Amino acid sequence: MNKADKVLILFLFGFGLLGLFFSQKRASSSYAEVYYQKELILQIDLETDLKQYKVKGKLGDVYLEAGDGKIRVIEENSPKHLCSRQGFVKRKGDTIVCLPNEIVIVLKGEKEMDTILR
Amino acid sequence: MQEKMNKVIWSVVFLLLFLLLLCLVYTNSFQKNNTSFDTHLFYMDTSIYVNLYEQNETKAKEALKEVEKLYQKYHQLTDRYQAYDNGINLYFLRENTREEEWITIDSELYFLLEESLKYYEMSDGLFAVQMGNLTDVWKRAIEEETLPSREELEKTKEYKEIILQDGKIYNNHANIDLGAVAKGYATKKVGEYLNSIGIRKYIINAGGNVLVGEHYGSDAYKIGIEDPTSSIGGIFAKVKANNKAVVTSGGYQRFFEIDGKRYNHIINPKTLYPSDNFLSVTVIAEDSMQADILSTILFLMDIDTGLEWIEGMDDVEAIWYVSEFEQIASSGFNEYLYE
Repeated sequence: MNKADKVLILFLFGFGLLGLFFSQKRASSSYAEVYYQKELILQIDLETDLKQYKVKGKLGDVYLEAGDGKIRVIEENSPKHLCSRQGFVKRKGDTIVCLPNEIVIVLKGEKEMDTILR
Repeated sequence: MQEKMNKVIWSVVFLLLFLLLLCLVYTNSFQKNNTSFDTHLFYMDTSIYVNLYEQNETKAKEALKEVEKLYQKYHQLTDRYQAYDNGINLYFLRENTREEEWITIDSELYFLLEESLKYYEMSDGLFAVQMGNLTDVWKRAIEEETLPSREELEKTKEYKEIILQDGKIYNNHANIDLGAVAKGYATKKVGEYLNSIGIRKYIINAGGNVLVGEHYGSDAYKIGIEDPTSSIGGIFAKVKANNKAVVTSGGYQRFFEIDGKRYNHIINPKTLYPSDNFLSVTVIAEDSMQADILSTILFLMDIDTGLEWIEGMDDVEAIWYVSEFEQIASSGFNEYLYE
């Protein structure tokens, strides 16, 4: 084995490790899934600047604001507006539930916790 | 000599790197083998999250369908606002116009009522599913954000008893509210079903009723308990558990406020008013139904009696969130905490 071989092998290992590192990195980046009833209707990348989104709920349009690793409901039609009152959520695995609108928002990514009890 | 040493060192370095790479690839693919399948359901006036870890996709998807059927079944059985074609439920028991004195009911509904009455005795009347009139008054109050009158509340004391015998219930049109046990029972049955078909890795969160099976890796499920005083959904306790039910009863989510005083939806049948001893109570137990019932009872009980209760039970732990500055845990609760 000469020097060039060694360098080549080291390079290959280096690339392999880097590849693995990045593949895991991508899996852990944060995004949100928005469900209407049981159907996934929208996926939002949260690694961007804050942007607004609109989805259809049971009682009308539901307006969301998402980005910077967080998401919130800003406007919806419901008797108590519980989900817009909840404000931003930023923890992976956390959810916003708009019960009357049957909209569920779940923060995905590498989870710090499996579920939140409230 | 020098060259030989070099060769050995290089070989060792390569070998180690190779092993490291293998390790990483292995753990990566191991996680992918335990594929995760989940669903969000709406039953029993709450959102239900079910997450299965299973290699066989067809099996997992079939299981999720069955799980939905189960939640739907218990939703209908305990529904107080609507009748269904497929049998007798709480609405029917209250509203029916049948002549017969005794009505045969579903064996599971019978069991739920029987168990509830047991806890009614044990809790000295704090766990009262027969006081549906009382919860109705407060449900309306929370919706309309107005306090009910004393007279209206006093009237709910004249409730109809639940009388059971040999699979039958006495047809006195009792107004029954199983809201404090139905989710826990349904979740328990869902867990039993999953175990029975060999799916042992799962996590369920049915509106504050969490049930976890075995962990999908080699760790334990991490469950965060929300801080009732935090406006940004902070967490005050992190719990780690496998094969356990963790249930929180809290008054800080569904409530209304008048003159700075909060009125929540967990009503003490003795005072006829919402209980404000605690902001939340969380129970850890093996049995999801037991955990559900206990979390309500502990929420209504004073802390001393509650602590005495829990310390006297095997494998049941609890934590009481009294205020931002005071949280009280039973003696074995710390074993579940991490960080």
